[in-house]
Amino acid sequence: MTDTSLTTAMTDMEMVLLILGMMVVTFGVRYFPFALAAKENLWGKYQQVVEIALGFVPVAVLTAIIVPTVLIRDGQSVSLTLDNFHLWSSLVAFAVAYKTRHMLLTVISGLVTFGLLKWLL
Amino acid sequence: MKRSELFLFGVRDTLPLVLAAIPFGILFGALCQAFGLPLALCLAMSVFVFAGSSQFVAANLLGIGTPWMIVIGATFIVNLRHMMYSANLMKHVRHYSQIRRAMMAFGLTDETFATVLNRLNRYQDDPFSGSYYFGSYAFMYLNWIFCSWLGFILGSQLDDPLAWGLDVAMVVAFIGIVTPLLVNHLMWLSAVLAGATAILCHSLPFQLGILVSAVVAIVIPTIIALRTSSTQTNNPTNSLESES
Repeated sequence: MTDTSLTTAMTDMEMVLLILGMMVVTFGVRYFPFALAAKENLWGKYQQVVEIALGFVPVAVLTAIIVPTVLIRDGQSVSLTLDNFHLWSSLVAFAVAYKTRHMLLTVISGLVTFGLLKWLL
Repeated sequence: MKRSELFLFGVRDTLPLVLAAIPFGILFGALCQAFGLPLALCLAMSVFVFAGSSQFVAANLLGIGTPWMIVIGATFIVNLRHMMYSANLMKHVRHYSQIRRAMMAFGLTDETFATVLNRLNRYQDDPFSGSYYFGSYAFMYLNWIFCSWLGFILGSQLDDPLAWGLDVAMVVAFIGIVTPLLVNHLMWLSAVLAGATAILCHSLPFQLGILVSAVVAIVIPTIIALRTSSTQTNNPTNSLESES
């Protein structure tokens, strides 16, 4: 199992520990709130604050993933030029999502725009 | 609705995100192969960790000879955002046993969270469904393992699949999920803050930019919501739930 071309030349034991460790931290992060979920009023007097804050989670996290992916194509600087196909496809997808609220139509319109731009330009 | 039916709906609704994950899975496998990581390690990550972006970070770090303990630390940081996902869903899983909850938590990826959330928002009178959740995650999981393997096997024969721009599929799918959530000024504010901060913090390591942006985009609108709700009596999340 040990591959000599691996730069670190990890032992099998180290690889097992690596996978175990990655699994434990990832699963731990995902499971921790679920494990506590049995309590009706977990946050006590902060219940309302926490619930409001959690309501912003999807928009906050997903937008923080989307925007740099769309705008920073070279890994460094923001690109607003015509050759940023991701930007134009995203704007079309956004317009369709805003008008129709239809997931599949949104995805198709974005992909078709992207394909057309690649084909035409 | 029957459980098997809900399971299949979960599979169906995740299809766009599964397609979007294919180039990422293939790229991850190819990256492992290029860095000389063994196939077993590549597949073990996809099978036991199942967290795409942290697997990329791990492969890159291992490729430059980073000690394994640091790789575990980086994995923790990259995946911290998932704690916000499970906190967001926790009120829906209260009635499940700890074992079911643990099984669900294992598959809480960006994609499954987004899909499940989309359904909760679309059909507000319909309760959270574990079968739907498992349908979404089983499809993501099997696809992810298969694509990692495929990428590793094809390895150097591939051009960079992201160079074709296939990550656009993930972007437009997420846009399809976020846009219907922008139902009031505070949601818009949250989106604008998240986008702007993510651009500013883009160069931070281990995708800390996403985490920082999320915190900013959650805390500021929450403070404003609390101020307005203490003057008016209505709670802004109520208006969120009643619309859409």
